[in-house]
Amino acid sequence: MELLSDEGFRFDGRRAAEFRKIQGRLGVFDHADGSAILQQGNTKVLAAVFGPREPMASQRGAVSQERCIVDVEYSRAAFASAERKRRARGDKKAQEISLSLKKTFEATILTTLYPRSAISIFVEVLQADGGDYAVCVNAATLALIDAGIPIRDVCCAVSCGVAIKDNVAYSLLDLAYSEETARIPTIVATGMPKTGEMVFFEVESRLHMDYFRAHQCI
Amino acid sequence: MLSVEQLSKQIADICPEDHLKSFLQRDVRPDGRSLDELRPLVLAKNVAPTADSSAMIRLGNTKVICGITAETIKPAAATPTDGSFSVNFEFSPVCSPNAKAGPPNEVAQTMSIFLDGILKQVFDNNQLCIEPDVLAWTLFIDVYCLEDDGNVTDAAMMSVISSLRDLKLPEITIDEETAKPVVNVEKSTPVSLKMIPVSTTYGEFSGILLLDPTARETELGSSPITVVCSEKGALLCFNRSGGSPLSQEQVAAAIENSKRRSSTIYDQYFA
Repeated sequence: MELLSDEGFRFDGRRAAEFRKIQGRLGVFDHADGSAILQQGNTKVLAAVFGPREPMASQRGAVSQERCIVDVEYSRAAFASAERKRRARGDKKAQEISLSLKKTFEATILTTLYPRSAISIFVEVLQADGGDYAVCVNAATLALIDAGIPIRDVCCAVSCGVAIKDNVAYSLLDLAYSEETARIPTIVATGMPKTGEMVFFEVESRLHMDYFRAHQCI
Repeated sequence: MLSVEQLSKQIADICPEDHLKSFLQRDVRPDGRSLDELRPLVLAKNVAPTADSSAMIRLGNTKVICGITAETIKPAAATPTDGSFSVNFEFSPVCSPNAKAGPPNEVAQTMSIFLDGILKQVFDNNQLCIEPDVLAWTLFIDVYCLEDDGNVTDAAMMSVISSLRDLKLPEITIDEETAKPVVNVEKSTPVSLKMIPVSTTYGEFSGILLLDPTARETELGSSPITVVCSEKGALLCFNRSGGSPLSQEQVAAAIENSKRRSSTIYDQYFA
């Protein structure tokens, strides 16, 4: 599959730096302190935030006198991807994603304002069509905003692929599933727009340093 | 100065039983419903395009989503002309602040068994057979509760039935020469149900039956009653797991009411 046509269009007609259609709604759940549903293209993620509240019995060990505990759980519906994947809740992949989300939001939330408390963020992927992790971060940020929890800055994430055409590297922003599986180097980056700080950065494939520098603008 | 709603909510939090009792004495419930009134029901189809069919039910604030994925398998040796289905119900982590990672808890397992039991009565696995002893369909029915404000049972049952009704399986023929399956997506047939089961759940509080209980009404009461009837009035399931005793009249009234509700729901959503 050709990632970028000669005229500069991707398989779904987007330009290299063009995002998919973004739709979101806040306050979709009544029982959660904050909630959001975010859809980027065909990737749909629900996020719910509970807290700040008293830590649960299982979290007692981690209670801190200086800051609140941030607990994130990531889950994915079995029918989320085109091929049904029933993963037991708490499998390795989910735990890895939960942990990286937790680290991201521990850095974002002003945890020192709520000592001896816990904030729980739950994320459920209903439809996975590429850029799942990034949409999870964005949905969770929206849910935190809906809950009114003080945060350092709005945490935004984007998935990006590098397509090399005629020895020029192009960033394909907001990857769709078919682009993710095309075995191009992919970068997932989470950052804070106002301060320009990067919170999370992951590259899981080989990428030549020359092309990497060209992508600092992310 | 607090508004009436805020005051009512505080009283509900401090002394919930008295709060509910004071409403029931006037034959009405805290959300304004009568004792046998349903919350607003919304059915949305095809909410998860990645699944082969899907539906989401909103019953008041309770939200349940069901997705069915069809795959092919070799039929079991004991039943060569039957396909199979499996129901998996889970409470999504977004549903409750007390969600824990790991296998589904008892309530979720019980719900899976309940849904499976009803489906076994209304769904014939024979229709899932493609080629006896060679290939058959297996349906994975995944149900997730996204928000639990009581009566997840009725919402889950309806989401499963709605998804099943919308499911279309493409025609598969086994090529004689290559012995490989050939899929013809142009020709899809819907699956059939012997009857349409509709579940009606009552919460029970001090001997009074409350149709379609909210989460608060369920936790204050003893144990809900679930009656499943088909659109023609056949009783498929009567479930009451312990709780305070009910009179025979109450049981009979619950079943009668259920039968009427089943045909109403059928006419409105599935006819």
